[in-house]
Amino acid sequence: MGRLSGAPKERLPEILVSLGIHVESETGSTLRLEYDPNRPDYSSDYGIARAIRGKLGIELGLPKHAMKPSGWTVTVDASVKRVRPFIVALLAKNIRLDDEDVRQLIGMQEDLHEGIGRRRKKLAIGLHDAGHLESAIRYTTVDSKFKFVPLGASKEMTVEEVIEKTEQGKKYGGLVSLSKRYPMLMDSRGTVLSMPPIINGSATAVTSSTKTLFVDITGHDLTATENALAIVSETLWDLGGSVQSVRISDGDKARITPDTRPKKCAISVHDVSTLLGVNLPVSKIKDSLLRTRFDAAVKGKKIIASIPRYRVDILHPVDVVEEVGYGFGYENLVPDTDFPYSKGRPSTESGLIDSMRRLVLGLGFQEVVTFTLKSVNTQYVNVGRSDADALKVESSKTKLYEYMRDLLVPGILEVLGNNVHEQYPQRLFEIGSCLRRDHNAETGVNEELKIGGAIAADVTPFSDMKSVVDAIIEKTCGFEATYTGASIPFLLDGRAASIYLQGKEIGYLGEVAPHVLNLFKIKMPVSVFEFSISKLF
Amino acid sequence: MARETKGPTDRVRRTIEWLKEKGFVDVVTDVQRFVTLGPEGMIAVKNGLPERQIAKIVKSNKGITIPLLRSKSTMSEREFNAALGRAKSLGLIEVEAGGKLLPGSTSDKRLPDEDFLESLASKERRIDELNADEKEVFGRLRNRPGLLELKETKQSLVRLVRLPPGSFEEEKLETVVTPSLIKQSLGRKIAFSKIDVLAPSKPVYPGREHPITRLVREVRNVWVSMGFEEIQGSLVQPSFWVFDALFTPQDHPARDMQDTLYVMGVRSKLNSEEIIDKVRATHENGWKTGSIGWRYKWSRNESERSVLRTHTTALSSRYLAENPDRESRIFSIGRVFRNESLDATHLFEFMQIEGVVSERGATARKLLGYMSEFYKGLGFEDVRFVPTYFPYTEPSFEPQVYSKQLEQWIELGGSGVFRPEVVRPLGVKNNVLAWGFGLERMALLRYGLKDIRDLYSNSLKWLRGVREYP
Repeated sequence: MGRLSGAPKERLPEILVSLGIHVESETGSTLRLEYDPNRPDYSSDYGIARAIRGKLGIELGLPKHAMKPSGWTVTVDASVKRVRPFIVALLAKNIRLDDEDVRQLIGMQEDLHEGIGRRRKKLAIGLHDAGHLESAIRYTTVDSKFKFVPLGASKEMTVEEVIEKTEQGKKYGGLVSLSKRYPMLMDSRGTVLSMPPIINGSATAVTSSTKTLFVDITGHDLTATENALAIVSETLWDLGGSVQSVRISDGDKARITPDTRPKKCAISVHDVSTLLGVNLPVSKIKDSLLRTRFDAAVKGKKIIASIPRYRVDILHPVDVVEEVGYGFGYENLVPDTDFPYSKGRPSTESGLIDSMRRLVLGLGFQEVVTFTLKSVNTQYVNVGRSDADALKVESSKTKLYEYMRDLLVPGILEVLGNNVHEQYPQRLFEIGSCLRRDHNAETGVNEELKIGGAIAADVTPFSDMKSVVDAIIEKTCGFEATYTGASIPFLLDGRAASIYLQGKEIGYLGEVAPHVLNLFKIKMPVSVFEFSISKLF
Repeated sequence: MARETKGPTDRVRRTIEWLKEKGFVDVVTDVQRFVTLGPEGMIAVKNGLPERQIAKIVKSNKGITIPLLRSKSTMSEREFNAALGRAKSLGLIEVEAGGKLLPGSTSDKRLPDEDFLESLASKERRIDELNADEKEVFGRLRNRPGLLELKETKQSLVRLVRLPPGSFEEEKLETVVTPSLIKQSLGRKIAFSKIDVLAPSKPVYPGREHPITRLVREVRNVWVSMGFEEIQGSLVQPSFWVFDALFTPQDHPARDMQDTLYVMGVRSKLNSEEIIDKVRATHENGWKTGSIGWRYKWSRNESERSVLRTHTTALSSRYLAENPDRESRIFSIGRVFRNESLDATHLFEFMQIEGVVSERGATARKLLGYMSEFYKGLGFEDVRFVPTYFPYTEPSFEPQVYSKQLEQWIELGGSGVFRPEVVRPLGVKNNVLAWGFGLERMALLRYGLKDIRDLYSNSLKWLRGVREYP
């Protein structure tokens, strides 16, 4: 990187940070870097070096190249429209690649596939040794019996076999297999360049002896393919290549790619000062932009920025202002702590929760905080409830926690079960959100704030728990709770009750059935309560 | 004493120890040493000492030679030689010319050694009670292997120093304060027994808040002290507010099921048609925001998926939509969700803290100013800001705080100025500043934990033991 960018080695980490590139680790002469997904142009060392040269003023403004037409054409067959409609391409001459260059190109290709290519769905890049190719290329489709030698194979395979048997086929076959026709890129003699977006042909494999490179990018999103080609094109110039354009003949339309014309965007002194908070003169703004490899022309108080085509992250003038910040150096931005007075306050809900929590803490209960997502065993099976109406998340990576809790007590029982070796009595409570299906709710999910608690001790009579519930409810809302006997699957019949407040059912309490305690591996008797805080007010 | 009190010896011992500690009794420990017969001694009492055995053989075989004598004895060569030597020196036998052995001058007399051993056969003897002659014999015999055995016994003698208060011989002392004693107490002195105020107590565990709650409260206090109002919202949100309204394109990886937890079998109803249309246009072509947009066909269907919020910014965007013209400083503290496998560094559910400022004249420099104050309030004196990228802010900064504990800079959150593509469709004209971070990172630092799961394991050992101000 030092060689490529001209930056002194010891200053590299600091410069990289000022460019928004994260230095993950530093071992010997190797820096592990992480770049943000909005900067696919940082997918090779060349792209990063290009930015550093600007930052240090070694090179300023747009990289400028004289691109000639290559005379090569890609003819697009109408049959690709339904499969993978777009293709762009370029030819690069005078290529001399050492092993490190090949590694960089492949690394860049993979990063672009994963990032802006959305795992090759939006775009896929083919790099080919053009030495063995005719200059008339066809982008067409074939059927599943079509045969060619894919990269990495020693003999011909049918398209069907490629999809079923090769690693790439298994991974990316899904992107084309809905159709009966498969995209294929070949020259006028029938030499296969690639079967996009799956695999290249072996005939055009790139090696360190490749002199001329043909690059194709196919996909479903023309802008995305053009963006990626601009990045590849600039990298090939940096590699010492001479990039030439290719004519894409698509029905009655024709395009010349790569399109490397910079887009323009105007910003003003005012735009910079209102967003960044610094008053920079136009000359400084211009200088800052040149350092980020933009061109800038001053027109009165306006600065017309020319955006390098490989900078695919610039959507809005604020993005150009951000570039001014980079050129100016965010390390030079002084925090402004001159704010007006305003009155702060906690939300009503957290005020309520806080006062209720204080009450329960005062009754000697230890607070626990558990996850909203629970296992089916905790929330349903162990407490003898049906999960028919349960709310589940889709495709959870943590299979043990897929169910959204609708009650707090099961989670508290789980905590008791994990603490059987701690001193008793154990008095626990939790305050948290519970969720259940509700077709009238905005998201189809009703959310309710609840409080639940448990006492585990040598004896835990129902009446003790009832005193606790009475105290909390009466002290928080001023009304006395009333009760009716209830049948609750995990509580002992005849020792369970529903809690009502002014005729509205808000929760339950009771002694937990021994077999339920057993399932949670609890060895002590337990009484529990739970009621809705949302319904109290 | 155990016999007298009919209690177990162990309890007696502990009680005496306690009384001694309090100075009620003196304990004198008397060590007594005894001597008794060893295995060889018992044989000697029965068969005679080896020298006596030799004398007996010589007596009945006068003139016997040493080799013949040896053949008649059952002793080992060493024992025999030693016994022969002693028999000669004690005068039990005599050696004639030609090596013949005859009974000596003392051959019929009992030896003091024999008397001493005999006396031990009936009872053990205290060494300090032996007379001078016996002491001499004892000194001699204890060097001969196996003849004697020594024993030691300890005897503790307890002597009363003074009686404890409340005991039977003093006036009656009250042990507990009772309502009736309180009634009688005016103008009267009631004596109470003393208790051991130094005795160890039984542990009790106060009802305590969870450490996460405590941190939340601290953070909330910082926000409030800076003039921020707290906002609240649902855990499940329409994708529209979590992603679309924040200009996150619909094919963005953050919206994949790989990263995000969608709720199965339910959908959201969107009702702010005007905003939906503006957001749609902003995604597709930038609408009137000055942006070129993401340039794809926006799908309403995708925005109606119900999702466990991946950040609390969803609450901020809704607040801004409802209060577009208000200059406001708001904050939220709440759970957010990601589709992660649970391990030492990842949770699928954690706490996010976020502050938002919408005011005229808000700039990136103001953002850095607000954040500096905020992190100082949390106890981080040294803060720096590194430029970075977030999809819905421009410019964006990563705040880093210096941890004195770890002696290094650590990332603690993200921040930025909301993009015009985010705020304009909501009707907001001000620049809007936002920053936030995950609380657990700070909790690990505070409580010195390495495994993030420990924060939610609810181990009572930790919850009961953790310090209030670690």
